[in-house]
Amino acid sequence: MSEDDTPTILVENLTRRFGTFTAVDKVSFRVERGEVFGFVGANGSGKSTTIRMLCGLLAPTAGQARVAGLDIYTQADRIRSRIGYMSQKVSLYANLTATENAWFCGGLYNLPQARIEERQAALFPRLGLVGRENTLVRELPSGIKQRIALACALLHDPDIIFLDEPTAGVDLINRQVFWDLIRELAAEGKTLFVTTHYLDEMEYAHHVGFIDRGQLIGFDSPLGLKMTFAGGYRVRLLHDDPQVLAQAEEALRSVGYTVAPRSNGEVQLLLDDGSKAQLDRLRHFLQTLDPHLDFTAALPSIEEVFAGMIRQRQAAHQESR
Amino acid sequence: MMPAPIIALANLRKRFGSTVALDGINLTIARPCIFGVVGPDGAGKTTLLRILVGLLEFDATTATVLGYNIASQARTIKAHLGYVPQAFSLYPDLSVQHNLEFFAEVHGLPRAVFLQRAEELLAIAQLDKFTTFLAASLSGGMKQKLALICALLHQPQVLILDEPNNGVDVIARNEVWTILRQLRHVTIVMSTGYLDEAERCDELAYLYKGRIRVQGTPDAVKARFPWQVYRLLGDLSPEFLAALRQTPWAKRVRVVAETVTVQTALTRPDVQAALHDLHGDGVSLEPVTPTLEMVFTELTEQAEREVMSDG
Repeated sequence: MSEDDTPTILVENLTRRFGTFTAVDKVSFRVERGEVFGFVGANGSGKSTTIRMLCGLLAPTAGQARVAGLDIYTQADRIRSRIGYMSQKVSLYANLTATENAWFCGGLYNLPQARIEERQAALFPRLGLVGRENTLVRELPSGIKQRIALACALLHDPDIIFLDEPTAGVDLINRQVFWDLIRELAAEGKTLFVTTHYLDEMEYAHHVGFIDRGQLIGFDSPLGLKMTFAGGYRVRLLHDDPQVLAQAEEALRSVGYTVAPRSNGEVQLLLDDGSKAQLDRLRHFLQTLDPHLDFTAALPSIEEVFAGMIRQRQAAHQESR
Repeated sequence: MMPAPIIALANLRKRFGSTVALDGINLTIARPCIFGVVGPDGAGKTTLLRILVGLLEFDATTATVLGYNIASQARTIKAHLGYVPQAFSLYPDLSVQHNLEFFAEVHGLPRAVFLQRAEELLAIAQLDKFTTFLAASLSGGMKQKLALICALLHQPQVLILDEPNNGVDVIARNEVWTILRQLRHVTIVMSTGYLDEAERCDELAYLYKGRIRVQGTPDAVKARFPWQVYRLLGDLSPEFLAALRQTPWAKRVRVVAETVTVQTALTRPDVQAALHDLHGDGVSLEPVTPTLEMVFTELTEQAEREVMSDG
């Protein structure tokens, strides 16, 4: 197996206890090279403790983890040189310019000045920071600050970048620009480990992990999480005439489609997957019934899935008591 | 006689030096509802809320809350209005109970009324087991809930919340919403940067550069979107997407991870025919309901274009 095939982050039964409190409880997952991994959990769920262990800042109580192929118990120092870290909260020196912040960060990683300048020349144009180099950070809008913080995290060319709530307080348009950049970096082979409270952003992730009370309760692609929660690829039939909808509902059921119970008068179907073949087949069938019959995906949002899974767990927890 | 609207603003303007923060706001809220004020940083959201609370001077032809003039009857309005500012507004070194008592004193609530209200509100917010905890020791979500119930002690008819859920996790955010939903006769005006939160409001206004660009129920706002949206499925090579982006009929091609959507004025058969010309016969279309994100992105860019053409 070549080095490129090994996952960048491999976590097995990772556990951290503080006294009698288990903050992280036998968590296992893997993140491949070139992936955006979204890590979602409420405050106090064990999210930050997991990240601190993976960054080599906190020793686990039990379990294994390798980051960039390095063991978190014995090679934590080397891990820290291979990862970048960015947070919207603890980010930049407000009284320094973008360039000065970059130099300071480069200094922390012992990069020679020539190398810092070379990396800066590569990164600043890419992140839309040209013309902003010599402005004090405190005078810049939050969207620009966030990209400077990203530039600083990328300066030493790390393999893995941890982004801890990178878009907090950043507006819609800048958030889109930022996430497009994140996907570009992943396409170039960087691995991005991201936390956020804006769960709609998880649409940009290849895989998403849900953590609740120390346990990993979900791990899949965004679509996979939604389909598991909805019981399949859920679609809603579209037509102006309720009678046509009712006839279509009957016809679909008679040929073996799974029709969901009606809610708000909508006719919804559950398909096994959302593959093009399956959707094309459904479309052709609907066309034979009425040329104006169409359908659209009716999947829950990531936020609905996460909140729903937590609710189910709380209900199960109360019952078992 | 018609009852006075809960909030009525006409031609409301506010400048800070040479910066125009609000540039002619017209807004009427007639019935109790949850009203969301959405927009990017610097759009004027906080300024608008602070004016409603009576904290800033302004120019307007009309500006009333519950029929009272904001400029001249601010003290009367205050008795009927609750406000939770963006910054942490509690006393960190007081307990949950003492914070509540403090706000009750400020509003001159009789002791018996206070005790009953506090008990109800603590139960709704699920803070009844934490009354002796210092506010500083609470989690972000619990602090937010405490600030909220402090603002509700005097039973206001209007509640102003400035980004109540900024930086609060999903679970705590849902708890705050559960509380808000129980306040049926209270009009809640809240600003937010979260679109899923805007989606939950009964009505919303999108603010950009000091002006309301669109207002209505979330569904009505989405219905104002000028384009059809289709998700593309099938063979979406980079060459195909590049060619698609060049066509004049594709107003916007948006790629979010593996999901590609195109916004267009064309009907579905016309799009299918146009795809044929791009050698996209293997691509099929699925209609998609526009999201608030799409609507707001479009409105923001429209506003930018207007600025450009104004010179």
